[in-house]
Amino acid sequence: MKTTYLYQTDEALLALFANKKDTEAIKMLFDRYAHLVFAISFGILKEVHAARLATVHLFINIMDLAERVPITNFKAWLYQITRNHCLAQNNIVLDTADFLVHEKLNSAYLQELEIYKFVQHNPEASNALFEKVQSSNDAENIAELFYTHKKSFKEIALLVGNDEFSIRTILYKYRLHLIQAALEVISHQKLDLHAH
Amino acid sequence: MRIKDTAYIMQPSACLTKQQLNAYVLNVLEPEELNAVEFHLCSCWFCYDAAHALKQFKMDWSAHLDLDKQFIDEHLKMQNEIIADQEVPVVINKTFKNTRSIWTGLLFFLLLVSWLFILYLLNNTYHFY
Repeated sequence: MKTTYLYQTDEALLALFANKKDTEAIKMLFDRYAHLVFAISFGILKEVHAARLATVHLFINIMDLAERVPITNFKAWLYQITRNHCLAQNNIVLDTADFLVHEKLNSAYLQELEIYKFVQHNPEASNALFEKVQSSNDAENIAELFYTHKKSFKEIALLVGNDEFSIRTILYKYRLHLIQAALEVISHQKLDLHAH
Repeated sequence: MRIKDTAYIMQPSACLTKQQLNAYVLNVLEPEELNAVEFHLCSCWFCYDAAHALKQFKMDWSAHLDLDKQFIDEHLKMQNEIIADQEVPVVINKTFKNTRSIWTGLLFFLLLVSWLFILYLLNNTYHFY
């Protein structure tokens, strides 16, 4: 496998496959995500063989769709089609709320990198953000234990008296809250610049 | 919390590899690596769902996670064969081509002769006056 492919983005690899029929590109994507697709399929289908078949089926679908469907965020799209495929196999009717959640996820993934770059190179935004997020105390404490004291989910769960799933959900929401606050700070700074 | 952590929390990280996923499920990660894995799980639903699904069965998943990718080449080969079969070959009938060229030649010859005859007649008509 070409070493340059290791540093290519998912979308670039998909474009390489769609335009030049480069099998190495799709194999790289398979190496990156096949095990995750298998695990999610197993979580829904509860059977190893069925999960393996679903993984192969999904990657064949990706190969066929790569030329026809414009994919802006491969990871979010793959997560969505994996869930849809497995739920459909189990005859579980998809809820419209499920689609909305995934649309939200898709847009969040795209924004995150830009926001991170902005906050990283902008100490004023970072300070404003710090003041904004201090409102929720429980989440703040858990975030401090995780990010500053480097405690694991299990350790925090024992300390707080909660289960690991809830701890992860709190941290996930805290991060989303931070991103939301970052967006507000960025828009405020832009408004200030226009006013001056 | 320290102020610089706000940017650190939003730092993007790569998805879990097969080895990381398996080690996380088996609970055999070193504290530093565990923190890196859980840091990623805080931002990625894809990896979190995958880890959560496998964690329900605490067994060694390495053999199952190593999926064979031979089907990629096989699928593309099959696709190319189907495309090749669908193309209709153009059959050139040589005898039909030859007869057609003879008739076209003959037609052109007749046209030429008729034009020459007309010119000859016109020439003669002019001499009458």
